[in-house]
Amino acid sequence: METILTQERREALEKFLDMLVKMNELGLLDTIRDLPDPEFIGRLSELLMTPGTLKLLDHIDDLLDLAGSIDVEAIKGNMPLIKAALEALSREPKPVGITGLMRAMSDPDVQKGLGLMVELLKAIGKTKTK
Amino acid sequence: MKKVVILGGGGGGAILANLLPREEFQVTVVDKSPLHFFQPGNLWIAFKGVKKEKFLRPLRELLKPHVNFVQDEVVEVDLQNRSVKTRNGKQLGYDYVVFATGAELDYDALPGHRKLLETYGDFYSSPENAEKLYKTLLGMNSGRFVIAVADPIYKCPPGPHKGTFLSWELFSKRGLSDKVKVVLAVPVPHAYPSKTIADIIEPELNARGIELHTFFTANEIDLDNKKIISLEGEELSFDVATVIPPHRGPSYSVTPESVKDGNGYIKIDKYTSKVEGFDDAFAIGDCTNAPTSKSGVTAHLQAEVVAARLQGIDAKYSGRTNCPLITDGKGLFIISDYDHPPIPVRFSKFKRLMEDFFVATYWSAIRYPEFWSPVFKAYFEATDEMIRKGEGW
Amino acid sequence: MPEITVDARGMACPGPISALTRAYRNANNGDVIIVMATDPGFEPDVKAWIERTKNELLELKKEGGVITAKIKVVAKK
Repeated sequence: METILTQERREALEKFLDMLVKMNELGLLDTIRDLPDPEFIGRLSELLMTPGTLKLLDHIDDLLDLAGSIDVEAIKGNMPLIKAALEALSREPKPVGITGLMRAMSDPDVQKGLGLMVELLKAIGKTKTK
Repeated sequence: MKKVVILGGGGGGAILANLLPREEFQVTVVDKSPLHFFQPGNLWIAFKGVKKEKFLRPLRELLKPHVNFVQDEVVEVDLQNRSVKTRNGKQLGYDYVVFATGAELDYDALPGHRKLLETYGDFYSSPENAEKLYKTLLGMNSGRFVIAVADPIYKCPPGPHKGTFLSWELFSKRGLSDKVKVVLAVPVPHAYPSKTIADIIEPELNARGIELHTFFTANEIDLDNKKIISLEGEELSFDVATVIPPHRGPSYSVTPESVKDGNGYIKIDKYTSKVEGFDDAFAIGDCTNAPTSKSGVTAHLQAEVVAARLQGIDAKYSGRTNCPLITDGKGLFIISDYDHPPIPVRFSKFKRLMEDFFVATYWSAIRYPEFWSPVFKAYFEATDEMIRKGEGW
Repeated sequence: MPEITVDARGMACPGPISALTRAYRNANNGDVIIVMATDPGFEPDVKAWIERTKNELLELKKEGGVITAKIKVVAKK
């Protein structure tokens, strides 16, 4: 036993055992012992392994790269706009004809919105010309 | 208690033995080797220099304690009298027998093949020969490395392709991708029997400058002149070569002989694994004539089916395949079944990771199949849905 | 004239073309190999195989989802 328990290993073993004592006090060891239950594992597997998740996960490397290239600050900064757009969509707007459109354009809010749409259209169009 | 005798403790036999509830079944596994070998390990041994010990474990440790293990060679199976005879004279009676002895590789069928094997090694016959092949490849600094196939029905259909990609990677890492030409020769019309899969593999072969020969069934090896001659009348020159040999079913005597087909494989009902003509005999894995890939996945799924059937459940095997094909860093799975040819799949890092995961959990899956069953079940159900909907992955 | 029947209906990967080339390995000139397959990919495969190996395609019919190819082995050396 002395040869197996070198000084470093003795230290590591003591720390490991102390960690186990803490985990036991927190009830974590019982959790770990009870988790590998075939039914639980079965349900977890069914949740994680669907055609949808498998297809999604198959692109995980590309998705992570994509997510990394997103300008998160820009999204955060524009959250009020995004929220407002979603709210407007949920209100189920009524159809508007050419006269309705003319009338709407006299509303200053609509004018600001239209200005934004024009900038958006410009930016999109620019990417096509590049 | 029903007596079940399982012939062979490989990927099929060991899993089946560990699945059968001890309260209902008295299980005996007969295997001539004390060691269980993870056969796909041959690829890592031959092309990455991993030591064979990583893939070998004592079978006794992999079988649950209540499973009896008889280390002996099967010499005769009498299905009519329900008895199994071993080389050391043991006679085992049974209520159920399960053939799980795998396929036999014939290195004497092709002239010059055994000499080729002894000279260079290979990645199909044994871990020792895989180590020999690795040494051979390390000593190769220029020339042609040829992987050819003698018989289109062999275990692990993507094996030669994995050997191709992994050997290319080995030469590439050594800076020899311009000096050593890797050549793959297959009997079928395209890179892989399934055109769907071939269409995905061929660009990868081209991108690496790997030479592909189709309609090439290796038939004779001329070691002196260093060429392989095909059934179709063509020749391929090599500096180092390995040929996947003709495979056969078990050579031990089985009565009645009629249960073996023309290639010695045990004839079964492809869904239930029941041996034709018998209610108390089953066969799983590479030793059967099931019209699907000879692979570990097949053996595993058939083991689950037989375990269920022995307990009165009408379980059936759909012919489902899940053969992994790996290149450097990426992988794909060949997903098909009896009623559907392979679905289109793409090489991805994720699939390669999944394959690494399957490999890492192998020993646990053999010893505790009941723990991994729900995980595999979920995976197969999800991918079966892709097959049914005709989707790709 | 020996007839070799290869029933590759309901065959998963590697599929009927492998079953055919396997039967061909064990066949002799003069033999007739009859292959039945449900995999639609078999039709182009068998045609390509006939063209390349120079064996004779006696008959190729499609009925109720089953492709049946009757091949005369003539090209073996």
